[in-house]
Amino acid sequence: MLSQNTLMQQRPFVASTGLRAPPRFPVAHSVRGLAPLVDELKAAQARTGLPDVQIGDSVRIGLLVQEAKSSRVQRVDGTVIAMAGSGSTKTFVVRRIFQGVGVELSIMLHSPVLSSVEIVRRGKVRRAKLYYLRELTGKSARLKEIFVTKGDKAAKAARIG
Amino acid sequence: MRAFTAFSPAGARTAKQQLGSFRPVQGSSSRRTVVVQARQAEAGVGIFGTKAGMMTYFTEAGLAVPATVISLESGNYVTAVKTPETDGYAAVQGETDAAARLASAGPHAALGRRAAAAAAASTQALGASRCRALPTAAAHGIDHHAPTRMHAQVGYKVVAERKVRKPELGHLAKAGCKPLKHLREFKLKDASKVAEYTPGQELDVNAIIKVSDHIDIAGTTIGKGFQGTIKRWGHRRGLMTHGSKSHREHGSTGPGSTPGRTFPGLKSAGHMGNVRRKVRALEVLLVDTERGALVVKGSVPGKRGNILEIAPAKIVGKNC
Repeated sequence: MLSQNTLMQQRPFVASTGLRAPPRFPVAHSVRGLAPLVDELKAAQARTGLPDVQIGDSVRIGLLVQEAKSSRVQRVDGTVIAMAGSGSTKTFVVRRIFQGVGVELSIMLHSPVLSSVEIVRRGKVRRAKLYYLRELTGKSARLKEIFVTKGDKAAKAARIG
Repeated sequence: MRAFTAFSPAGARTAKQQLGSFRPVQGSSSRRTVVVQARQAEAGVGIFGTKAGMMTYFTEAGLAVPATVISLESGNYVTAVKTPETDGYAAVQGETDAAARLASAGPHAALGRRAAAAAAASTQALGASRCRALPTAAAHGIDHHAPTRMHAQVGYKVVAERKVRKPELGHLAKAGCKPLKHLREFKLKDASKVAEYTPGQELDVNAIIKVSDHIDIAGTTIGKGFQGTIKRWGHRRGLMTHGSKSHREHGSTGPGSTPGRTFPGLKSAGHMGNVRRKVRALEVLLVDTERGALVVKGSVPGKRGNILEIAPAKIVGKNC
């Protein structure tokens, strides 16, 4: 009733003429806004159960390669030297030396092409982009490994759980 | 009597022709004919949607493609079905933003000259209750271009009753529809297709649009305001230094004393954007009736919240 009065004060012609009858149909408001709808669809596309890939990790990934009639999985080993994006558009760059030539693959983490990701070892790094590895070859291009103990794993699991 | 086409390409018309809803045409015979310019026929009855935003969509093949999310809000009711017998032409009426704005604004001030022609067409399409064009047209014995064409009017976005004008409420009440904000007619070549629709019926998105189908999406583009020729037409700018004083000028507008005037149609600065544009043959990636969402490949006109008219794609030689 109060709100109705307020409305009448704002629009006196409505009150004076009384032409408008109360709404006969209930007005259906959209349940959510437009941006949350996009977010929801993005979330629906995102994959779950992916390992926590971080910069400096040595990873072994499987890529689905579509050939003429069948598809196979191409294994790629390398180091994660950069990550970009967030949510379903998150990408990571895997670098490896192939036949003496540096090769980098930029892969979308949530892409269905990525059939598997396995973290072989964690490297100790102090920056988010390891582009300095491009200038280094051989032994100097290695990263110091972080050894994860059982205790650490348990502690982390406890934090997440 | 010569046959005159009402559907010449918009670009070929002069401004004078575009501004009038009825174009008097002087034929070779002594009889004058008036051709009603109407929005072109669609391949099928369409629906309305609201642009929600863009995202990266992963296809089944594993491709990451740019995609637009279209929200299907409350509405999409058939508000009127028109046949040549009842209205002199045939249509299915539906409701959206752009069409409603065109209809309620009266003068097509916010639109470009080319859009004015479309506006005139939509006014015609919006039915007898809204515009005087039709009865007038009938009184003048107008030769409708395609009397066999059918129209279906579709309504969109359920709003409070006070937000819809009374004549329009009456029109909607006739079909047993809720108060709807946007109305548009979808004109079809095939009369039998329109016969499938009844006023008051809620349109089923799944029946109209399927995954991997191609659709045409029309909407109002983002308004850019008054823009120079560089942004508006892609002209090149002059040197910024080395004594040049022609930085972002439009350059020459034509020859000298002969002809002593500027030719019409010269590309110059002016208002850019905020016109109705249609993007053709967009691929449908996902139809999510649970969430009320449609995901299409590529971009569509306008910003988030823009009302879009979605209809099956017209493919030359196939359905038009």
